[in-house]
Amino acid sequence: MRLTKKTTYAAILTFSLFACEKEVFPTLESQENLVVTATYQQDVTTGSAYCQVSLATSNNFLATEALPAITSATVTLLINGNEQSLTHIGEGIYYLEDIATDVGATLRLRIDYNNRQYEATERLAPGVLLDSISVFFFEPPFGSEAGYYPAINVTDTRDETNFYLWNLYINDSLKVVPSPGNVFRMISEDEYWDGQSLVDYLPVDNFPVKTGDTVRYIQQGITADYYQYLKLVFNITSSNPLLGDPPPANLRGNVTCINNPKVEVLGYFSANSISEKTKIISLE
Amino acid sequence: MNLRLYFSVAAVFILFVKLTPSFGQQFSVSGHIASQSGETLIGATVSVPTLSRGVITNKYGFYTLSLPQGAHTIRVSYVGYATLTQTIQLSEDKTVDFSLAEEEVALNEVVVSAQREDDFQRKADISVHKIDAQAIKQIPMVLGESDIIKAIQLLPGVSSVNEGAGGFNVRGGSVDQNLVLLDESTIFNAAHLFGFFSVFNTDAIKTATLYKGGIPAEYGGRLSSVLDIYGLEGNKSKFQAKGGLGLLSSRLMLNGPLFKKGEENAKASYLIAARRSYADLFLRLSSDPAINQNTIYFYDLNAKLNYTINERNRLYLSLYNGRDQLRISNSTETGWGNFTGTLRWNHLFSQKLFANTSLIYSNYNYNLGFPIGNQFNWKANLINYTLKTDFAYYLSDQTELKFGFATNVTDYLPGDITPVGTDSNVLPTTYPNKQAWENNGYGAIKTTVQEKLALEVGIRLTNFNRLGADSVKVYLDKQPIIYDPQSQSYRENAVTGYSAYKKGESFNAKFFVAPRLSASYWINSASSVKASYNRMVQNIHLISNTTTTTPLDLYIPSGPYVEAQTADQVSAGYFRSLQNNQLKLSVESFYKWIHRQYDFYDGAALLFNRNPENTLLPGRGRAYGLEFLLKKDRGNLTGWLSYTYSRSLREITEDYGGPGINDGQEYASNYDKPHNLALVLSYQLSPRVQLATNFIYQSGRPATYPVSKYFYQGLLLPQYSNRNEYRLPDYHRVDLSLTWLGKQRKRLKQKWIFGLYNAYNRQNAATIYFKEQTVDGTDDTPGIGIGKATQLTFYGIIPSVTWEFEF
Repeated sequence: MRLTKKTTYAAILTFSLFACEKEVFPTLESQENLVVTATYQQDVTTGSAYCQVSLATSNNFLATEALPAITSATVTLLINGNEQSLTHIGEGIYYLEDIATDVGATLRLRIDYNNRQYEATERLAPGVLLDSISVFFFEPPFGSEAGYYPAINVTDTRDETNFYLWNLYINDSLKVVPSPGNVFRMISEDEYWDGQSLVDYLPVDNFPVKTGDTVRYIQQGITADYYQYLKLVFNITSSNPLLGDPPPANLRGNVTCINNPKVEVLGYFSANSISEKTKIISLE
Repeated sequence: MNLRLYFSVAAVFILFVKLTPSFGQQFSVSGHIASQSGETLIGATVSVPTLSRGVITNKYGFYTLSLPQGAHTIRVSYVGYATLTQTIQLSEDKTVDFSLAEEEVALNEVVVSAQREDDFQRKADISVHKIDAQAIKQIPMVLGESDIIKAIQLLPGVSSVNEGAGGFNVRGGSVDQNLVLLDESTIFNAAHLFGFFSVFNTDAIKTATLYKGGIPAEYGGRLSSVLDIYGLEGNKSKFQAKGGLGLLSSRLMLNGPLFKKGEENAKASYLIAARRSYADLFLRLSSDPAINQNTIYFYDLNAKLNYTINERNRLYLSLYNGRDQLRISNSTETGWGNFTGTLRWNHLFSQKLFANTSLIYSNYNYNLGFPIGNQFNWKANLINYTLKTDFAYYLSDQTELKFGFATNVTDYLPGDITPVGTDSNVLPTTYPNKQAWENNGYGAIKTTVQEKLALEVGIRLTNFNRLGADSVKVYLDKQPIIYDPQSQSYRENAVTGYSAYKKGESFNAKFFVAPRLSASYWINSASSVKASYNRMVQNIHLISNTTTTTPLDLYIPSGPYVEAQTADQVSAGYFRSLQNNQLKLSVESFYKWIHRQYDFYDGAALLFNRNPENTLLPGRGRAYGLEFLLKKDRGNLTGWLSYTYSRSLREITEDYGGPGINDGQEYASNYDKPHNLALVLSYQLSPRVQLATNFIYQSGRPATYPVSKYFYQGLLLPQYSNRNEYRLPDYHRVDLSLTWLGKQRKRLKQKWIFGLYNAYNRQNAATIYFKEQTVDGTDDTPGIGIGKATQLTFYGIIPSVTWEFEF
């Protein structure tokens, strides 16, 4: 019997070894495009807001160097009819705070760089209050270890179309992996749970916590367009080679080059209503 | 309504043929050709050598010959069977059935064609391959699993995107452009285990015919090819069991007579064949719950019944049920499968008029479930109901009139989501169902002119309708998609209303005319030239943005915003027999214009998309190529060498105000493989030992690589090249097998097949995928901002052993 079992395991092992992987180094003709990571975030509770824009240039996919930051751009935000400049605070990041507007208001971001003008327009999405953070024991089906995972509790607004993005920070570090689950968990539209509550919902299930960890969840109400964009972001970053190649799609965000619309600009300018909770973990 | 139309058309046709006068003072001899076990033989030759006349049996083993009064010596032959000669006295129309004895050969030769010796040159058939299912078993295959789909991929003009791909690509066409029929039922997904194996159990298959071009008028509905597979019907003489034990699966087939009286063959027979993989049984032996609670398996069940009511009437019932099931503990559960049923009635109205009527049901279904968290089940179906009648009217030995009609209804049920358990917050959701009704009529004449020119001219008429109940979106400016210059992307246009249709109400009615022509001119006794033209129409569209088929692929019918795909194809070739028919050489060229070809716009998201048809951009495609085949059917060394040079290209020009795909420039389709070479050899070393080998070389398939990177939401994002701008490395491998006839007992026959797939362990790229490197190399840890290219190889060297038995 023991021999049979060993033989059987050997057969399974053999089969599992049929597929194999190796790292390869194809020659890629890379492109250098402007990358804009821009967000306007307004707290649903306090009404305070800030705008942060990160500018860089894309580089070769297999390069080991960091993206070259753009430090010499002029960045402005048109809000409530006023154009305000963002300040470069280092490493290609531009920042503006003490601003606020109404849900549905249009915001326009403008970037002047290298004799070209770039622009993006977005409406401030409605938001929903994040009720609380809970922690429960969970045994993920793949890879991650069994442990205590931070979850959220939220009640959706009935008869209002809402789109959500959840970001998890543990000890001030953004936690995200290129998981296939991102497209189903980190973002959501309320089409299938309109007006319902999410209880012990796990937007991210790869990071167990321990006593003393500081967990922060930011729940962002986002626009339908931004939701579609993020869906593509997560689809592309979690593609599974066994089920086919990544969709052959270049993500086109909402930033365009005014001088020449054919110039490809990467990234997105989003305007989100946020609600965040912080919890210091105690498992005793 | 459709049934009334169907029977009216049938009555008119029958009346027409009944009133048609016969030619000259000829008598007809007709009947069926079968093996001694009662298995009808498709494509057997029935000839009268003294008159230089001959015909071949149709798909039901039926033949008819017109001969003058008197005595005639009839010769009946079929490859693998002893030729039978019999003299008959003809003074009136006569029914004569023939029964052929199998030749005593040690092992089957690899036979690609079971045609009469000179049919190769003479018949109007061009771009057609007939495959004997028994011969497929001699071709080395991965894990020793003989597979008809993998076997046809060794023929010229046929390829697949990679080893694990479901389906096959013919002359630059996509997988969904092949009509795959099993006993006349449509098989929508012919793949087990995501495409590593096909759903066809070769033990239960009699023959398969692949039409790549010159497609006869009786077939339609797909652009690129028809794979017409007929199963065995069952032994009418004695009970027989056959089976095999392999590394991946085992199979068993039982067949025998029903109601047998005396020594004569029974009037009825049955066949049951089953196959099941057993990797999951091994998993259960593990003590680790993370392993032993997982499930992965497939099974097939073929069942056949046939009954000869009398000389004029025969009934056939064919059932197939196959399924894959995959469950990963605490994660997902998915399953997919086909269920088909065909009831056929062969009827002889006269010695010259043969008819077959079929009632067909085909159901492809799949489900997806998430058993944890927000639990739900998602079920989808694609169901087709068909009623059709085909007539063959034999005007003379030289001329056959074929005609028929069919009506079919297809239900597209893309999704029904139901919550599971009380904790699930998922709301029940049903995706919009669609229904299509298609009516087809065709007529064709096959004739030979002065023994030099064989012609088959036909026409196929199609009426396509969508049926309610349905609610179809009405878009602004009747445009389903718009290009948004600000975000530089396509998206669904604004909806201005809905067109509502009542249940059964017809809309989007279309009419199509598809002419067909095949011709063969016999240059001399050894060579001929052939040519063909066909127009094909396809009203079913596969919505998939992967290069291979997956169980979750979605099908949609033509409609207000997705029109029928149409294609015109011309083929021409030179056919020659060499060395006294030992070798057969063919060189064919083809050019195919695809007038309506859809492809996804960049970034189209399909999963959980209620209107995936609004992710498609229309354009056109073209494919062309040159195919070379040298085949040896006889002797100790048999096999073939095939080489194809072909291209498959698409052009999605600027549409809906946007740039199309690749700025409207022509680009390679996913299955564009310019060079494709296959060498298949089998050598009879001794009466009990046979060696076989394959060598395959193919160009790498097109791929879209990320060339640059940037970051968003803490993730590394790729910036892609133009679509299909790169190619994977070229593909090649050698396979070897040895078949050894074990000790042959009186009742038990057995053989062992030892195989070595990919003998030199070539690491062929099934895909190259690009991802961000993570902290510890797994997907569960954060990325480090550096991209990595990884080549995935499905199969290295794989040994196999299979034991087959028969009693």
